[in-house]
Amino acid sequence: MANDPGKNLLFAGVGGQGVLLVAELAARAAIHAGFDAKKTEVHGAAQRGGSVVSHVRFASKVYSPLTPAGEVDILVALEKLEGLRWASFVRPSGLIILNEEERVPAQLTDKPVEYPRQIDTFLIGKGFQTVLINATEIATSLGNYRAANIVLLGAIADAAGIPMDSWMAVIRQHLPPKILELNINAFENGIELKRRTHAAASHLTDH
Amino acid sequence: MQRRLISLIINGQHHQLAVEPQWTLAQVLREQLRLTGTKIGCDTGDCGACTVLVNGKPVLSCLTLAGTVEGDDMKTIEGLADGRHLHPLQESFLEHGALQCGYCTPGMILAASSALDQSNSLSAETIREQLSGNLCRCTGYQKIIAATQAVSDRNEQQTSRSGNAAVSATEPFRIDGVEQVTGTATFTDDLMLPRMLYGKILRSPHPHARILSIDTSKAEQLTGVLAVMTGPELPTKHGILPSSQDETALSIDKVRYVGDPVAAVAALDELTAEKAIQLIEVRYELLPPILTIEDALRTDLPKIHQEANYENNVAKHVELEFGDVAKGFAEAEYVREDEFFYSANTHAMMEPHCAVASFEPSANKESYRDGHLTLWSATQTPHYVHRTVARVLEIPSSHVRVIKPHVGGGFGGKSEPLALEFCAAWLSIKAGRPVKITYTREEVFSSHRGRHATKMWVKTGVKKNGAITAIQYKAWLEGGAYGSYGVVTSYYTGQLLTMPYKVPCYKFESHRLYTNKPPAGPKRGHGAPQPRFAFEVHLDRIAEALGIDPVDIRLRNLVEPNSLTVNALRITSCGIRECIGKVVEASGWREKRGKLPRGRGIGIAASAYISGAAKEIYWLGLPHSAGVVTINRGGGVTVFTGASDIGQGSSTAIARIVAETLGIHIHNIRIYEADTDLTPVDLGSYSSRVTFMAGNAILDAARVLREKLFAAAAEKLGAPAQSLTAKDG
Repeated sequence: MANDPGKNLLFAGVGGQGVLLVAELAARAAIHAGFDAKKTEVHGAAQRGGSVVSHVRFASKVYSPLTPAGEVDILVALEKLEGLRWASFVRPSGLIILNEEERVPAQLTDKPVEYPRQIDTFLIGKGFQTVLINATEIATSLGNYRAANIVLLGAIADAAGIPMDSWMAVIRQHLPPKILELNINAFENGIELKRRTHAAASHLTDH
Repeated sequence: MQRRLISLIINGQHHQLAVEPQWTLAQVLREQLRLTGTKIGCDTGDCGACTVLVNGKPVLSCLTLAGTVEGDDMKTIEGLADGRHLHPLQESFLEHGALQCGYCTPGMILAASSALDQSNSLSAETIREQLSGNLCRCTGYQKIIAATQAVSDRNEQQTSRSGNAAVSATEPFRIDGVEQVTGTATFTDDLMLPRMLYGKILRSPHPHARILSIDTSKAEQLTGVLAVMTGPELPTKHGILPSSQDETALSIDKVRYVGDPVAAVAALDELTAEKAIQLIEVRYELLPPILTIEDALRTDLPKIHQEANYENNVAKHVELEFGDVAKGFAEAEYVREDEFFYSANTHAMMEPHCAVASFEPSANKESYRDGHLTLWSATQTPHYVHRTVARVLEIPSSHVRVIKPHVGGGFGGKSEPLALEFCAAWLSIKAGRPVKITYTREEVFSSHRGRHATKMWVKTGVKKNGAITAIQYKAWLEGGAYGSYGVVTSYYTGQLLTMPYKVPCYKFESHRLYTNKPPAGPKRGHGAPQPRFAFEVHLDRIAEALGIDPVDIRLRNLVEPNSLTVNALRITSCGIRECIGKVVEASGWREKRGKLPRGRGIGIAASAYISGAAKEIYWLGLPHSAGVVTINRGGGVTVFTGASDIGQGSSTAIARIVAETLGIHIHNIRIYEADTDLTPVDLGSYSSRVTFMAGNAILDAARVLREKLFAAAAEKLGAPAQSLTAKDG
């Protein structure tokens, strides 16, 4: 791992989506793979419209868990507006994995407001590699919508540069046996989906 | 940006306001409507201090755009009381002592009131959940929960039995309590002076770099910018200790940590100031950063401060021995060595640092130095801010007045002048208008001065019965980029280790190191918690090795009242033995120790701290504290004290001392505190010194006044002064 620059990851969502769990798994997978990793999170205000966000950094040596704005390699947004909120942290042409989930911020729930349209198009227009995934629907089809966070984690597994056996080892180690199978399914679905999307995008680029 | 007219209904009153689309509700409440009871603690929706009620629900006003709450029914803390009659929750908070600095209090009370409106019967668990979005740094939450619970219980009784819920607090818990619970307490950021500008500081993005050039021309040309400054304008070095004069107001030739201040601007509004600092172009030459204790000790790496005394990045080395340590270890029947590491952490006071400066120029066109500067600052140490700002700005200190408004907690993080005070003052001089600088939460963290990360090694010799025969201790303190109070910390880390125990001989060595990280300084129990953690764990391991109960090994070694420690710390009254006895009894130690189920445990540690330092930082011959107690023309008592109430309640303590001494009710006392023009000197609110030092000064003054009163009364009454008592006044 000598002088491996590693990756800066940012996980964002709203209360109850499992942001902190996937961030924890990512940090542990990096450590399992022999990286130095640091993680920090902010989750005070989810109930009142605030977001939940967790920074994960891994490399051969990490000094601070916080990634400065503009230096995140991969943003995983469990909710679309949260993707928009944190996009300024992503480096130019960085990867944004956007969950097809729309939650109107708590303070606007009883207002006649329209949820912003075409967030993905907007982010693509800004030059980010943006991948929209309906993780909630996939997780629901697998048995529980709550595994959407693990689908999204699967979607970054390749791009993060952490070996697959490290991902699987920490998932097996940290998730309760009762929900393990579901989550492994969710994780593998995420990997596949991202690979297919990537292939499709390459195909488009070829033309 | 284009403004839009909106209608807001706040506390039952209709307001029509022209707002910019990006303005938050908090901004509009505080700046447009001057409803400053709504506080900003983080500005990112994490602390809850900005909580207001929108249609009865708690909402974070710092995350809510003003335009989105048009037509909603909103309530701020100012709308909770019914005229001069407090809301039951406000009364309950006062009764239960559920507040200290008061900065989180408005948000906390509003969140609690929303919970009470939803249900007449709240369990403690529900209250905890409902208040979970509101952070408090001072109280530990228990009293807040109890105060809310009490109102809920009272409501429940009223519903079922129509009971009487009259509340009255005759003896106030705090003399400023009503201001705190109603949101009228004025903190520095609540000050808005006519023509006031907003200042922002540009900070280094690099941990260690040489500044090659700074180009401020684009910032200066931006419409709305009235002043720009860079480091060379204020070249005088400063530092809180005479031995740590290693900082300048803004960096001049080098930056030494991510966040080191580089340039500052003052503009008509915050957004323009923010844009302006982004237009400042700084060219850096990157230098290798020193980021660990180990690297700081190496002699082959660059020095962070070229002029420092040592060949590596050691800022201070201390080595002291008390008694014959070799003999002490020779007498030991068991010797143990251990190593520990204590992580750095920061103060996290709820109120971010803030300074407002207002400069009145003189008619002298040649020099600004005849003018007068007033500086309001959220500081624990107005005295040090006063003398340092005068020195760095090269203004006579008689022309500088420092005023400390209400302060929302400090915990050591507001104990020395920081960039914002110098910059606000200098920008005010340059622009000829008042300037306010409020740190963002991120700036609070990078300014830091928090607890030193410390690597420790400790060796102790004991007899078989656990009696300590000798201790040797070594510490390596990670000091960050500047000196701050680090020399003091270097001594405290060793000197305070012995305090709770009888140690016949003791030797310690400490190194404080410069690294390219935010500067470390004093934080709650300055220098003591790190060795305390190490030694108490070490002592437990010794107890375990010898088969002695951890309580018993402590009881065997405890210091006695009215004694001196081996390193000459004076122990006066001391109830630690009784304290441990009561803790053992109340905790069920003897029944629980070693008998709890897996995953549960019970432990004990003893600690002690000094009441201020015997030697002042600057040997000016001034008293550490002084007080003036006068009888005013209305027959009440006016007290002038330099002691800074930073939320810990020192003004209340002082008022109580005066009330008890003069036999008058606390309502008849008015306190004027921490204003360098009006109040006598006090070194500041740090090191647990205020009640001891300022309290004793005020006690002396009140006794002198009582003697004078008795002498006058004795003459009128024709009775001996000794026969008089003062009470019921």
